[in-house]
Amino acid sequence: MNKKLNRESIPEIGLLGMNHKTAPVELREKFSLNDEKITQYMNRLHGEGLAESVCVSTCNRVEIYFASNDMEKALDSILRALEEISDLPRKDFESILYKKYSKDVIIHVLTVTSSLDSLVVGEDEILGQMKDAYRKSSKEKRTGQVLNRLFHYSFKTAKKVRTETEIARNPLSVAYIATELAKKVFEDISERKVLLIGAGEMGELILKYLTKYNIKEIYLANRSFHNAERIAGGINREAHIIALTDIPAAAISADIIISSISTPDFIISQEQGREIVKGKNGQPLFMIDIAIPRSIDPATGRLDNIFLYNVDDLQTIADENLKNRLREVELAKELIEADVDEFYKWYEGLFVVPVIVNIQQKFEEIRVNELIKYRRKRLKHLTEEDFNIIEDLTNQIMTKTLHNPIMYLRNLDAGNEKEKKSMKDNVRIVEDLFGKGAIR
Amino acid sequence: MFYLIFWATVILFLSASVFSVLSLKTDEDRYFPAVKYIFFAALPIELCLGFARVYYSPGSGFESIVSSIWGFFYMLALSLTLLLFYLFFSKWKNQWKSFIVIILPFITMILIVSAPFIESPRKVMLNAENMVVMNHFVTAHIFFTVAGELFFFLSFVGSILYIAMEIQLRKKTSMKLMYKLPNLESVEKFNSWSITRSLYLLSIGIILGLTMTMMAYNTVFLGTAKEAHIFFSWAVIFGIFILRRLKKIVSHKINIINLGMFIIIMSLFIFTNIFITKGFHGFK
Repeated sequence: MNKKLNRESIPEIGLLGMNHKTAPVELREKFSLNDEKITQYMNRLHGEGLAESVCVSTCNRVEIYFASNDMEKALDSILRALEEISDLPRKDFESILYKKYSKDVIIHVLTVTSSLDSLVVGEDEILGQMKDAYRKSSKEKRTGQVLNRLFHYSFKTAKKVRTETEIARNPLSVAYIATELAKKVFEDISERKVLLIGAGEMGELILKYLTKYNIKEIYLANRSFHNAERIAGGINREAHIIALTDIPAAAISADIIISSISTPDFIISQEQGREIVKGKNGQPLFMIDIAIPRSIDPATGRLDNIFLYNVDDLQTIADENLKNRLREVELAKELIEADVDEFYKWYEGLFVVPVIVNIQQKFEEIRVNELIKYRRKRLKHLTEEDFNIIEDLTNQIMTKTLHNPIMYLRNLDAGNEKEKKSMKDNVRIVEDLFGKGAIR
Repeated sequence: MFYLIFWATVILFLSASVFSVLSLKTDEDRYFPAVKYIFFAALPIELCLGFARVYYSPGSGFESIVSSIWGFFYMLALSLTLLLFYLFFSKWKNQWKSFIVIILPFITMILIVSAPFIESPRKVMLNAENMVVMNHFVTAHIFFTVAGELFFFLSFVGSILYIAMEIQLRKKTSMKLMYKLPNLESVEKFNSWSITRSLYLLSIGIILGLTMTMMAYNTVFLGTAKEAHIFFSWAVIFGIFILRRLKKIVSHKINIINLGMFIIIMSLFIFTNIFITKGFHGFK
């Protein structure tokens, strides 16, 4: 028999894991695994009841997705491995673990990959982490028919969620927001000159984001030349290091100013702002003031062609963006739900289709054998034409007789583990009644 | 049949307008493809509308469009549609999503406003001498002046987008709408591009008009409201063009001027075309 159509060879899917919602970091870190440990443990588990597996270990979650023909044995093996990894008895961590089976695993993996289960909803890191975990398992031949398809499906869903909803569109990091805002003022950032005042960490981070766009020129103004040189080295770019007194002149030629320097007086006053606007000949100026106390006069932001943001402005945008993301969650869930149903139909089919084929083959075998037998003996006198009619007739009787059992099998629904068990029992009964081996 | 095509065109543009506004308000990925499909379906139907008008106006042919008050509205709507079609394939393709939110409802509005004038007998009356001249120049004159005014409309659209984006940037709250609007610099480039073309096209249209009146009436100015309106439009467009070139005032102010002046010119345009019937330009 074709291996693909062997019902017994189709493993069930399960998940055992913990994440930032169920376990504090002090516990999660005890289960954290590097690539080498993952390979070591997972390979061992494959000899202990796991047919397929993918282990995801990130700072926010440790999850083992698996497929097995013996669920109880598989779970016990995983728990024993977790005891070894954490050096904790099972009773100390069992309460923080979630165990999921069948459809719940599908819902979970699609939700996680689509970043709906992340600490920061909509972040894009988790998709890469899931892809990495799957790639490693696949490379080490720990995945098969079920998990291969499940993970590819989850990547497709995650892509759909990202493109069809705005869940990932509105940035949440202050440095990233600053860069995005600059892109809303200027058509091409690579043509821009940036002036960084001060050596604050956040300013440096914004500059790093901007340098990804290969900006034209960078000016660094700081009290200490040494720190300015360090920043230039950090971004791996050539930069003009200038004195604080040269800021007004440099500001006129700059398109983006990031200030993180703390000074008793404003480093750019409103009057200086006016001079800068005049000198810029109608060109806009984008300024980020992340210094506390503020280093650019807030009144400067009211001048035409100047767009000034302080740290609170950026945080307000980040908060609002988070609200927008959360509003998109419901839509994302609808997309996930549709994909879960689609995948589950395929997964269910893995159990049911071999049984249907089995029954059909058995009935066909009986029909053909009986026809041959009758053709040789009692129906010898029939013409070829008459015999063809009988053949059609038997075919029709068989199709109609099998219609109900086959439809019954196709419509079996298993929403949860209990239903799944009952579905499998029903499949077995139908197979025992009608399938190969039942009628001899 | 003509009415069927007319209302089909209106419904298509209306649906495209609704979807374009929805694409700005909600997730564009859901509505924008619908806007594109409807718009590209509406274009050939709008062209058919012109042919239907010519076909169902026996004897008058193309003149029924050029000289009638409904035809004038139709030409405006069609030219704007063709311009939008061109923009889709031009270097401004990325800004197209934003343009349609204003342009599609505007086309719809022109078509709806034109409805009461479908059966209107009012048309530009031309005497024998005019007809000779008309055959030579009028089509080109109408084409260039209308195109000039439409490019001015595009700069108006750009100004709205500039002001909208500037408000968003200064509001400092959500970035949701910012992702649906083009960046300030690209809008400014578009505005300069459209005002320059507006000035050149309108200048050519006016020169052709002046030549026509000179040939037909031996004078360059007959004192009609439409002539006054077109000279005023040209002066405004020239002023904005110079302001943009000199870069002496900030973009925010230029865009406010552009917005305000377009509204004034548009109001005068409607007034001179619908309510003033005197002069050879008027729809009598």
